[in-house]
Amino acid sequence: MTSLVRQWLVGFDWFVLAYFVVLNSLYLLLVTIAALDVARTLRRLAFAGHDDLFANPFTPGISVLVPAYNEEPVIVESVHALLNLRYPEFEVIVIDDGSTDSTFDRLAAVYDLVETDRVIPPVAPTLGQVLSVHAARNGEPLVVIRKQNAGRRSDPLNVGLNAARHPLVCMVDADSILDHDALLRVVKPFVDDPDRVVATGGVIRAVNGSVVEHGRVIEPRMPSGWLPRIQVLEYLRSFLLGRTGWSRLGGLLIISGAFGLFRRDLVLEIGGLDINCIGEDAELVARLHRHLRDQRRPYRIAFVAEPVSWTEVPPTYSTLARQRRRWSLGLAQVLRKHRTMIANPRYGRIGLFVLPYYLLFELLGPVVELFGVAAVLIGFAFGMLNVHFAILFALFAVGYGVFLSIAAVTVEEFSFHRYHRWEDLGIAVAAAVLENFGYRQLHAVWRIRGLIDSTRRRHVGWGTMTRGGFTTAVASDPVSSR
Amino acid sequence: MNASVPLLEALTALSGLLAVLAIATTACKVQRALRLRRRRRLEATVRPHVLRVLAEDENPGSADQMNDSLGRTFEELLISLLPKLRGADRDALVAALDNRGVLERARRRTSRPGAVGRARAAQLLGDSGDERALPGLARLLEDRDPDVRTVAARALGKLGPAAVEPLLAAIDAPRPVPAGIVTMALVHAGAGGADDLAQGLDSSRSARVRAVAAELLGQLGVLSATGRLAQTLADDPDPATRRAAARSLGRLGLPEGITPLLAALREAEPSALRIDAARALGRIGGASAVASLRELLVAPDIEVARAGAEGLATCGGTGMSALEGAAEDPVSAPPAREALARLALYGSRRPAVAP
Amino acid sequence: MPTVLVVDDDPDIRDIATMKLEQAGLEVVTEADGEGGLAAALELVPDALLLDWMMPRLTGIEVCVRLREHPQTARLPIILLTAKAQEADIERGFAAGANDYIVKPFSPRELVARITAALARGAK
Repeated sequence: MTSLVRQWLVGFDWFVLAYFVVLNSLYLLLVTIAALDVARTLRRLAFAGHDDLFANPFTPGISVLVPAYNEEPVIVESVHALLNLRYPEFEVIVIDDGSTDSTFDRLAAVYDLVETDRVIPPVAPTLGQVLSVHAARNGEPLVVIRKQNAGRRSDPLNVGLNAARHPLVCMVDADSILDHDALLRVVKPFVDDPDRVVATGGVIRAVNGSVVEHGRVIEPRMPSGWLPRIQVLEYLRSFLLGRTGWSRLGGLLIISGAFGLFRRDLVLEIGGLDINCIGEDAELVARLHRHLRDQRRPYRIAFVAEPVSWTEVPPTYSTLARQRRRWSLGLAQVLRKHRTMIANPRYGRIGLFVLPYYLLFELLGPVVELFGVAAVLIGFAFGMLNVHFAILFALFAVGYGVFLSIAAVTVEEFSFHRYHRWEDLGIAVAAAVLENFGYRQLHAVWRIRGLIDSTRRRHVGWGTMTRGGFTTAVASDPVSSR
Repeated sequence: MNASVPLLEALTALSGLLAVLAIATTACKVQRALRLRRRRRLEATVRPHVLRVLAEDENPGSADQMNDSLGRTFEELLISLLPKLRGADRDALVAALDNRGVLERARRRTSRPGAVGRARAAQLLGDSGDERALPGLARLLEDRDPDVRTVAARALGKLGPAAVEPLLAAIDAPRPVPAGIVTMALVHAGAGGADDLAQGLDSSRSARVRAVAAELLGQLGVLSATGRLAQTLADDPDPATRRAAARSLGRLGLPEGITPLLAALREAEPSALRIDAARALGRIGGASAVASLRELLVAPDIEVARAGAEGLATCGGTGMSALEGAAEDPVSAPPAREALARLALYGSRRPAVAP
Repeated sequence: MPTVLVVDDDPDIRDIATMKLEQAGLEVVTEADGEGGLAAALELVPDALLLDWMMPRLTGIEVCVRLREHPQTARLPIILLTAKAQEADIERGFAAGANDYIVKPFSPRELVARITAALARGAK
């Protein structure tokens, strides 16, 4: 019996080692590619021509879609900021998804809303019925649609899609703050490569602790709690390194629902957002890839690293746990729905590399971690553990996690340097280390619960969390130890 | 099995890497702070000289003596002001830069290796309106780097009508410039390029070129092109070109455009064209199109119906009555009511979505 | 000497406008954002106001609308100076109560001419 356990342990240890090596080499590759790409972007920023885009009558119009459910504390400031974005031609469509608070009333008062008639062609399927449409009497390009709640974020977005009148749609969160010229920056790939670019995404960053005035982030700062601090790092890794890297490799799978710009005609062509998916933003992009590759249409989905959407991240363990659990569930749903794409050469690098990566390393990563810990404990119990090796391995795993975070901080400092204070840099470094002692493990547990949820086909509703979007931290690597 | 040794080595390497990153980040931050302070000092010194250039100071000689970092800052400040001004004051900035040889250097830079440098030089030359840069920029339209081609196109667009022909040609070049970029660039070309643009409508040119030319003739207000555009709308085999011609006829606003636009409203025509034609008729206005636009309101394609309603909204009293009548009919009511609501809110301004 | 209040968050624009207007014999006061501009306009009641549109905190349009609600500034000549150049923007600018609308990039000479004319009109 002992020899069986030993065989099993040794086999599993080799597996974990291989897993670890592959994953971290991939991360290293992504980091390198991302760093080079960010540097390249920076060098070329001087002649990006954003001012010309702003002044040009042919810059494509954007319909900004803002699904809102019970956002009364932030909605007016948020809409005010959106209406004052630096962009030549756009409209803001707020979809009040059956709010039970005074979200609508506040908007109605500030913008002198008046009920109006607007044709909303039923192209994308929707569940909740549209109750009324309102426009601002003072000339602002604001439309507010009131509808019945259907319990998911994709429904108001589909209504917005149907109602939109511009060729591009930008989906944002009601409680996020976009950089002033974010739209100009995120539209640029569409202008430079109009035949191929179908969707672009920008960066999400945590706004907690930053100085915000009248809907503008005046001074980004690191937040005061360790939990949001760690999340700042997660988002830096995930966006600055992860998405940039994947985008450069032509494998951008996820555009966050809090900041994505899409060609309206294509999204409608594929039927809008999936109302049955929790991770509706990631699912949309996956379906775009599928559809365009099925039709053999050349296309590009690009990530733009400069423009930021600032979002409030959950400051407490319970809300964060629910969020990550939901994200894991969402990822599982997307992968299950599009499982025929996985390892399918018909879908190019998305099918052969990106989806398998998300399946093996993002979705199942925490499972490997869990079993890894179990293997260590069993090995220890049976006296088979090479303690020396196990400790070194643990150190290496932690060190690599720290490396990825510090790399993100370094890239950030060299490129956009949004954080000015020295103390913020110090806090970031501290958080990078601290993350590996407790948070990483907790995070793995939350994700496993989300994975289990997916097997039980349990439907987690929209709930109280305002951000229904989906982002994945790059360095959710296993803390396997021997 | 002692796998600890390579692991130890890896761990050491990792630690080294971490140390390097930490040092690099700190150094970067320090250097940036120092550079910022230095820059502020230099700019404060240099700013009065820049203002003196704009004040049409009779004796700007003091500026010429500035060299090295002061001189560079002076030039950079001048360059940063170029896109903000027009007219005689911008000319003064350009003259100051020219006197310091900046433009000459930029012109030479356009033919040297280093894509970023070429692009920056191109941008500067465009912002300065330096017509001597035309041949160099035209060459950059065929640059290997697509960003350079784009910047060159944008820059050429600011140099006036002589840029029309090279820009149109770049659309079909082996290393092309996207048609949209050319359109956006030529927005600044002015009506002087009318002849070249009209030539762009010729059947010998490619569909993309014709579409761009059709779009720009309207955007630049070349009224004399109305006849030509009407012909393009009627005859051109390319749907995108016909749509562009329709939009342009609307922008030009001459009544000669009404007849060809009415023909484009027919059911046999593609929906996208009917929509653009309806909106264009709305821009021209007048009572003659009302009957045909009214018919659109019952079209099975809801977007066509909406465009018809939009057009009617700006066709004066007759259009308004037609809309009100249509609002009673259950089939045509939704688009009619939408257009009436917009009218009530915003008056008879141009439609919400720019055609 | 008539006073012009220049409100723009771009220091270059403030400097250039100040220099040119002072050259034309006017007194110039500047503010760097909408809130400061509104307060200054209500307190100083200048003879003309040069107003940027896109500014943090309070936008130029909001300043314009509010100034029109106060009796002392209801007839104040307001000239918008902005990079917002689309037709709809120009319409909104005038609808908010502006007397004139200059698009950036602008000609300082033209700016001086328009302000001088606005001052002359206002003086009558």
